[in-house]
Amino acid sequence: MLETKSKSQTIHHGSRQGYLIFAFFLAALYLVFRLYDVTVQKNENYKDKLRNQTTVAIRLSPARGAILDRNGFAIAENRASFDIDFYLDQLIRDYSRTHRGRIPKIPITVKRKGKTITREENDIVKIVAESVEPLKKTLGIEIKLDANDIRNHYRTQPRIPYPYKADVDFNTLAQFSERNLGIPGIEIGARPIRTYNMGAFAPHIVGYIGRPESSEQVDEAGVEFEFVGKKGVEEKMDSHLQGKAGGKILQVNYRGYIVPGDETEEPPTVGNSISLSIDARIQHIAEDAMRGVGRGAVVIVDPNNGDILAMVSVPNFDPNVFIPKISPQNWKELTTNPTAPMINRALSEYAPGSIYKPIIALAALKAHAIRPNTYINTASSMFIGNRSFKDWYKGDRGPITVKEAMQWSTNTFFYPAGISTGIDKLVEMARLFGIGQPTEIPLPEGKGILWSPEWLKKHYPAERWTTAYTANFSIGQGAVEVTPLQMAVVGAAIANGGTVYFPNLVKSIQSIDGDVKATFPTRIRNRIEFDLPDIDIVRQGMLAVVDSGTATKAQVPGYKIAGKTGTAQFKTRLQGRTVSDQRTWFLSFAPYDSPRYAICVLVEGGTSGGGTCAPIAQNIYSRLFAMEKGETINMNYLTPVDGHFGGVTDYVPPQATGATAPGALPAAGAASQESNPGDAPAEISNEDDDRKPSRILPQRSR
Amino acid sequence: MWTLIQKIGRINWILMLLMCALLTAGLMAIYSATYVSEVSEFREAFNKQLRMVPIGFALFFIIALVDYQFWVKFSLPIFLVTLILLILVLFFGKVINGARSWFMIAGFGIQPAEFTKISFILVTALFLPLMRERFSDLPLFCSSMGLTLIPIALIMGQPDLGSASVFIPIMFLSLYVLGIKNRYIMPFVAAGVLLFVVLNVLGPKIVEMEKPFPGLKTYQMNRIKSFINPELDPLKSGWTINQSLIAIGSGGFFGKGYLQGTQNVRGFIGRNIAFTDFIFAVIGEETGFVGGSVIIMGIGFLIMLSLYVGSKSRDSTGSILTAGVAALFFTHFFINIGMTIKVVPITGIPLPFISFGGSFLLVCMSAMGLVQSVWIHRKPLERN
Repeated sequence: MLETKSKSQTIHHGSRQGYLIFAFFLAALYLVFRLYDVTVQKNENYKDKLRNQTTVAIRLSPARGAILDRNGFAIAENRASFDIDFYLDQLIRDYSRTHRGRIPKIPITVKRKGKTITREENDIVKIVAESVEPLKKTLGIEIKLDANDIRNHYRTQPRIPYPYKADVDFNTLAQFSERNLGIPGIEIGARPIRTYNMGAFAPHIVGYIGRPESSEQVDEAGVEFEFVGKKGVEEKMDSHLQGKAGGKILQVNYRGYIVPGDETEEPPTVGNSISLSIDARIQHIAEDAMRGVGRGAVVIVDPNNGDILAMVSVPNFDPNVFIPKISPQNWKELTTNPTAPMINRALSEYAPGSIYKPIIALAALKAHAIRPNTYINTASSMFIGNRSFKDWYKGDRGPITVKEAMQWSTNTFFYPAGISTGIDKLVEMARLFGIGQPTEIPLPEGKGILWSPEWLKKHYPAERWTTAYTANFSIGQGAVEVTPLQMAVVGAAIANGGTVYFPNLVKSIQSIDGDVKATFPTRIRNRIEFDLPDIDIVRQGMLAVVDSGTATKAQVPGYKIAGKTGTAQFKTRLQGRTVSDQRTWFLSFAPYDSPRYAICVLVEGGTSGGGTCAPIAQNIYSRLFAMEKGETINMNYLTPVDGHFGGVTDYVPPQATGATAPGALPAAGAASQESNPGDAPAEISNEDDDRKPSRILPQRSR
Repeated sequence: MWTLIQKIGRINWILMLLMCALLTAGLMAIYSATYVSEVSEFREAFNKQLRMVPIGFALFFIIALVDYQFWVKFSLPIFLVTLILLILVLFFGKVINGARSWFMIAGFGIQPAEFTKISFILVTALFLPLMRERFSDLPLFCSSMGLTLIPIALIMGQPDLGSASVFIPIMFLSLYVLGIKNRYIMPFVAAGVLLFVVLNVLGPKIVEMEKPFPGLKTYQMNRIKSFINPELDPLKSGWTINQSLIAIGSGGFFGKGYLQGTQNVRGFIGRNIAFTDFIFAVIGEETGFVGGSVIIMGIGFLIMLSLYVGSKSRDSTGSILTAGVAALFFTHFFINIGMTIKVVPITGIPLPFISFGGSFLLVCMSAMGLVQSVWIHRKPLERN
């Protein structure tokens, strides 16, 4: 053992070790203090950073609720679409990782409150283009990028994956999944996508969906919508149809690859489905009947409750072309087509012509201006004031009752009947039937014009209401405008004895589990009291119209159908020429003894109500009755109906011929323009057509 | 026999238990840092380290139970052998992580630089008292600086800045406890404090410098730059410090729980450093402030206790030995933990008793053996 005293014992400084211990203690304390700062003080900050770099939030598309017919038949529902998606934030992150954190920027100018501000934005197009480069090379496929589209998407919906290619075909899908190149941010996703099962089937009712125009459209949770309803029920009931987006949080490793197994998911929900009052079979029958018509509409209403059973407007379109996105060519075609396929003609305003006469007859009867058995001597023309008012029929019919007047649509009966009723009572009756008022269905509709002294005062203060106006009013002329739906409701009210309904389009809203969220019960607008003989005589007149009057072409053997034809003159400009483009009508209900259907048919450019529209109604009725007897309706996918201007004839100025008798066919209720002394302040206009393919001629003759 | 029993009885059990506790914590941390690695070499780290522990304990006991004067007597040949190995490694060494510092012998990697640290402590304990007897402070200081530069120069040649950086503190602390006048020490302490301030105040200017400081390589310069501003290049030179801060910072007060860390599992902290130089980031993430402080205080206490042992030493040789060991541990401890929480720039040196690394583990346990030897032999043994 070494026990010799060291020579350096004397310089052994215990105190110096003490200082060192103290210094080291301070150093260790400093480390602890720093550790506290990092782990506790800045904990949230670092937690955020960790979450940022280890998780990728992926939106899960919600499924839109279905749109069903009254029997649960799905008109609009969802199918799976396989899409190639670019997760833009992930692409940016990956780009940044491979480019030493450098992200290309582009300056963009924003106009805000009149000021032009320039700010920088990630050059997302460049990032995407470079990111997909390896895909191009190895798959050998051409990848076309729509620069504007990507930029726009990045600005408005940055958290929603950019659907580079929706609905990829199986080949591409297989190629993609087989050769997974592991580019973080490019993925194949299956998501529910809208599909319209029947194609061009009630597209004006159902509408369509599309990408929202701005990122401001968000759901309750503040999440941007992927799709929003753009037209029809899809638009009006969007908040019910929208499902709630879900989310998936994926964990990624330091290279951005997804770590399998470690994910949390909030499943998306399915929106509520909407049951329409439409019966898909009846709609199909009506769609079939209107093919080839060119331009027109049919509305079928249940007289017992006001349910809209079918509503067709042609020409039409296939809403599937909007899914997921309409091509610019298709859009251009749809919006510039002069026949305006996007317009819902069933809810557009037209001059009613003679189908207005039942309202006049009922007003006169209710006011006791006439009785069911009152005879009025009718000639081919008569003088009111100092003007000649003509009937369309060249011969004198002699003394007739209201029934015959209905049957033959005799103007010279309705002029005196209307005048002796008085304009106030005529207007009141039209108002009770809902003319000039919205039907309040959840679609954009024209409310029409209830031509009246007040209306004249409001819009043409210089004008004064005259008896001649009342005479015109009595045959559905003048400024009065109605929609086919409004007239179908009128038809239903006559059929059921005077109950005017608010027509019902949406029956109920229910959740995916079948819980009914809301129902829309029948609503009655007015219950007009009629003496039974009064309304009966009008109905008998309408029955005679089909039986032996102006609409014999509507007859269905074995069934009693009541109806009223109408033809309204209309002039429009087409390719630089002024043409006559008549609005022909047929308003009817059947079966006569217990009405189940009230049908209003409108055709633009038809020859006459009896000649053009009655056969369409006949077709519909015969198939409806066959269906009632058990015949099945083949629910085929429908292609769009092209519009045309068939039936449009050259306009001949009335001075030259004296009258515009339409062709050889007997035209019902066609009071010629020249005999219209009313100088109707607003001639029949074509307001449904907001793009105005044709210009309406000024009609002032004075 | 009685002598041996008496010596074993004299072992400083607090230090002993502290060392065992740290070794256990280290093994657990190594397991956590490597258990999911795809690379089998990393996955094997735990077992490899575990196998080193008995060897370490053998060395520990042998060194502890023999009087330290015996080891100091043979320090010169030991030191020379390690210097020769350092020279040889420059020519025949294997390059790992950019430094030619490894000998591969029968599958085992040996780092001569690590063993140089312990041999340097021994030779210092031999050299300083001898010099002290003959010379005044100035020649003592100059000659000891000269001695220090030999291993530094050789290790910088690999290059391994981290390992080279420990020799100066060892020498300074040894000189300090030997009793050299304060004026030889204080300027360097002042310089150190100044450097710390400069890095923090003038940091932004340094970041902008295009050429590295004279004598530093570009990657070393980048480390300094990325220390000053980790956000500067978050994906390259700033990546590691950023990820280390995120790991520890996200751990919070209690941590995420053992084996619950993600920074290492997901590869944000490099697989090759998570169980070596950045093991404290793994500990911080999983055990939070609590676990991290326990490690800091544990190692800190071990260092302070070693210094205390030195103050009780029977001669200056013992004081110098313990001061050298304390300096070695402290440098590793402060730089290693400091770099993970952005106190000092990233320097690749391991954490004593915790980090994976066979050579360094043996060095640490041998060093503890020296401290125990100083303690055991601080006073004459009783004769029976």
